[in-house]
Amino acid sequence: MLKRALPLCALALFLVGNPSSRAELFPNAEPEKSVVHITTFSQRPIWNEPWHFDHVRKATGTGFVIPGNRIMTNAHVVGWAKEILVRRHQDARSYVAKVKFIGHDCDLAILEVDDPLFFEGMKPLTLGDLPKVRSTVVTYGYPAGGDEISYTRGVVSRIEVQQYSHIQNRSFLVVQTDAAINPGNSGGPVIQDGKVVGVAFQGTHELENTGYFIPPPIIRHFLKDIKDGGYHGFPDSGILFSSLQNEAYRKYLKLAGNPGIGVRIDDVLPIPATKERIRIDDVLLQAGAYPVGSDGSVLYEGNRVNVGAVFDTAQSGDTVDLKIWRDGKEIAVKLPVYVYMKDRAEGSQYDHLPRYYIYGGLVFTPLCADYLETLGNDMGSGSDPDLLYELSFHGYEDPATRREEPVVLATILPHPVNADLQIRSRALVDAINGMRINSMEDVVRAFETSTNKFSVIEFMKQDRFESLEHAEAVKSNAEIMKSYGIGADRRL
Amino acid sequence: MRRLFYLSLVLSTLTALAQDDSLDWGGSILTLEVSRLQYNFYQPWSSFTGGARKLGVVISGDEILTTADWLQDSTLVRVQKGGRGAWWNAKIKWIDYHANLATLAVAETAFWKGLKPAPLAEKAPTKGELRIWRLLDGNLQSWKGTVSKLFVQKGQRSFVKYLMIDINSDISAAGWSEIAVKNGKMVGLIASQDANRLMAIPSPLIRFILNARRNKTYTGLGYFDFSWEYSRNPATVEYLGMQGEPRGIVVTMVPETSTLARTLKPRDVILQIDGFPIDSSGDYQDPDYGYLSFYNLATRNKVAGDEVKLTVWREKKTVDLSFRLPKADYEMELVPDCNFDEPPEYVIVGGLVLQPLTTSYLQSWGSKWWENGPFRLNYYTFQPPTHDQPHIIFLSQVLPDAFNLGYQDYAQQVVEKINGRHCITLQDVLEALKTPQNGVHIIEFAQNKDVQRLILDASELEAANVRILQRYGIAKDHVIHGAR
Repeated sequence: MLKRALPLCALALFLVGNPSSRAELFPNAEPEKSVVHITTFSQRPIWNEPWHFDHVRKATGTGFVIPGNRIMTNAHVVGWAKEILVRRHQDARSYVAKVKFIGHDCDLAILEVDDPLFFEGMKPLTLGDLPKVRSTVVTYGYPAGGDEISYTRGVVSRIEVQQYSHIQNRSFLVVQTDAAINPGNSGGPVIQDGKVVGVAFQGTHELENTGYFIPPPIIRHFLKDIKDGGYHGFPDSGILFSSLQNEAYRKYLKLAGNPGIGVRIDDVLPIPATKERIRIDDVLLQAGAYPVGSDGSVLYEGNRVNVGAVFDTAQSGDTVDLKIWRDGKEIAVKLPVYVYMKDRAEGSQYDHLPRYYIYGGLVFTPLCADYLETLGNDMGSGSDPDLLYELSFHGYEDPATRREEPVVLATILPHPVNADLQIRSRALVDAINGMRINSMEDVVRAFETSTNKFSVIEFMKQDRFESLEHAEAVKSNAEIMKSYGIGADRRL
Repeated sequence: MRRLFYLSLVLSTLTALAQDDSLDWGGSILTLEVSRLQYNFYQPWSSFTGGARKLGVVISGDEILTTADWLQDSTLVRVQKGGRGAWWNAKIKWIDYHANLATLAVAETAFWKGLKPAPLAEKAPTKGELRIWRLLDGNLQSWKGTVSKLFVQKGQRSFVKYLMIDINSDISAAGWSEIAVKNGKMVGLIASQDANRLMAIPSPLIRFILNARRNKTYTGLGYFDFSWEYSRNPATVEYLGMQGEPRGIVVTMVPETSTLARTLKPRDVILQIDGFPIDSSGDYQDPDYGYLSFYNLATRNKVAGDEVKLTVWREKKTVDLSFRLPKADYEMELVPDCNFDEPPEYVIVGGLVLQPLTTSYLQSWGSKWWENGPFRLNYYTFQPPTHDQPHIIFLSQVLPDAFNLGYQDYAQQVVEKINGRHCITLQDVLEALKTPQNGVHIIEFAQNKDVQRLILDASELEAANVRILQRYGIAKDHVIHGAR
């Protein structure tokens, strides 16, 4: 993977000059007074023994105050947080903060502090516009956990759509600057002309002098989304594009004229609104106000970026106006777009503790990327190919047999009732007592409504199966819970 | 009397051990020099010349035995006696990559002068010491080895599991067809080495195969083609309606392309094979070698096509079944393991390079191909073939040209149809290209995340092919085995 979020990020390579040069940049403002130091104590669950938590980790990040006595920071700064402490600029006192809203897809969060003293005398920072390429920006933050604020300056190197590594399976607009990103800067404001033009959030080890920040269109989308009191997320058009630069394909679609216009729709995700309106081999000519290039890009505020950036301006439930080339003529399509959750398990998991169910010492849990990582798998290493295939490929290749929530036998807690089982763990469950397993609820139902003497668990790998004596398995549960110090046999 | 008997036994053993070192094995062991083509499966039109040195052993007045490994794609094989002197041209008389055995002949009678056939033991040792003989850098060497066990595992270049001798030895750089010797006879041919462990093909198996070949009854190795699990779980055994101690193995899946598909059913419990009871670990008690995996019963005095009798527990009663062992054939796999003695197949269509998916292609990603190669293609090696998809044709890369502009970044896509025709082989591809659809060729891929379909201009294809072959220095636009 090209880019990975550093735990809590960003260090600039070019340090901002002396105070006088800052004064030139911000003649009427002292943004650093609105920048806060965040210390987070977090605990992640252990996905293959989901009743456990990993050890408490302390990390630091940055935030800044925005109108309404709120602190904006990155979601990854406060993800899985048990306790959040914030400090004002050059203030010794720590205040307790709480997460009010969190957007894991766009890596943004809003914190609140109950103590009104915290905001006393603080001027909130206001949001600016997407900065121009080559323009200068200054980042403010607490890299490497330092107690004193650090200023760094860089230029806007480029603007493009890129993976957000906090969630891993979503891509949005980012701004690249020549400031390297290091732990601690994450969540800090990127300032231009006294206004926030970005939130520093991720870096890369593979390129030098490269840091990334979340630009105003994404920040505004987040702030608009939470206005109704909840965060819903970025919608997904459900359209998969393929470049349309080959002359033969353009002729085949009876598309004459400018060969640089129009991208081919190669596939459509199982989103009813999109399936109803969009067809494979439609050509997207325009999305919103933006003509679409044959490589799937649009000219967005002077930058050639992926057309996805246009759909990202819509809120879930909004309609995007499209111009489509179909069957030799142009048509207009109003496409409502919604948040897509079916691929949620492929991305990093947050907020919700892993679901599990224990039966006779057999621990069942949903398959997700975090579970695979717990096994020591870097995605793609192929150590557990069946799990990786099910998680990342099966749904695309064969949507008809896709399961809503594939369930895996995560581990077995050894006990005489299960000691003779040949399958030990990491096995995808196909059926239990003849019931096809599409979710954790199916697992519970299949076991708990059974009147058979034996419970039969069928696995996907080579159609293997195992049996347990049902009455013995049920009877053993209390003893197993006690032996292994588990409070509850389920979390659903 | 008893004491005398023991003494004589000890003496005979000592004599035999002494023989292992004193016999002139140098008159039986030969050095082989193999020149071979090494194909670049990533660019299947190119190859380079490689070579290997290994060993052979004289087994009759006109035949040399060696492992088949490293003889694949050979262009010249030469033999040297005693580790020095003249090299003699040899011909491969017979080769079986699954059994990992080959025999060579040298036409000149003068070559055979002074050579002694090595006697092949009728039985493999199950324990104790033996000697390993080889020629290295012109010198005859003998190393001590200890038999750890006899067991059943896959052949060096095969999916078929058969009997091997596991030998512990301090010898290094072995696995090149050295011979293992005990009591004055060759007991095995060393096929591979992993640290201090050597795997030897046992002489009894070699004798059986060579005899069958001489008698013209050798039809290749047979194998069992189904998935199974242990019956160690008493609850499973009881669930299947069996009484008593767990025994037998539980069939879980039979590939639809298997010859066993009409014989075995999932959840059959195989209790006996050819009269040998199978235990809950999948082992039977071999009269010669003790407990061995049931897989050995496919090659124990049997060849492909021989009948095997099964006693199976099915739906709460015992059933007697029989079937004929399928012949080990790489083509039986969805992703064939090997592609020997023929150049790799491919078709270039307007710069799109289409190839059959083989393990050899995947191994282009190096020794850690499983980790470094394309996951989705690698994962096909786990999937069984079906009647609809016995093999896979895929787009391996695009050779960029104006003709295929816009497609240059596509790679590793599985081809499903061309011009509406289902493509299982490259021959299907050629046939499909004869029927363009309204002036274009429509190439459809199996459902995937990247791209589902490409279109090529049929009228310009031929000219584009000529141009692309010339630009990229490729002699032929296709290589298909058996194609004219």
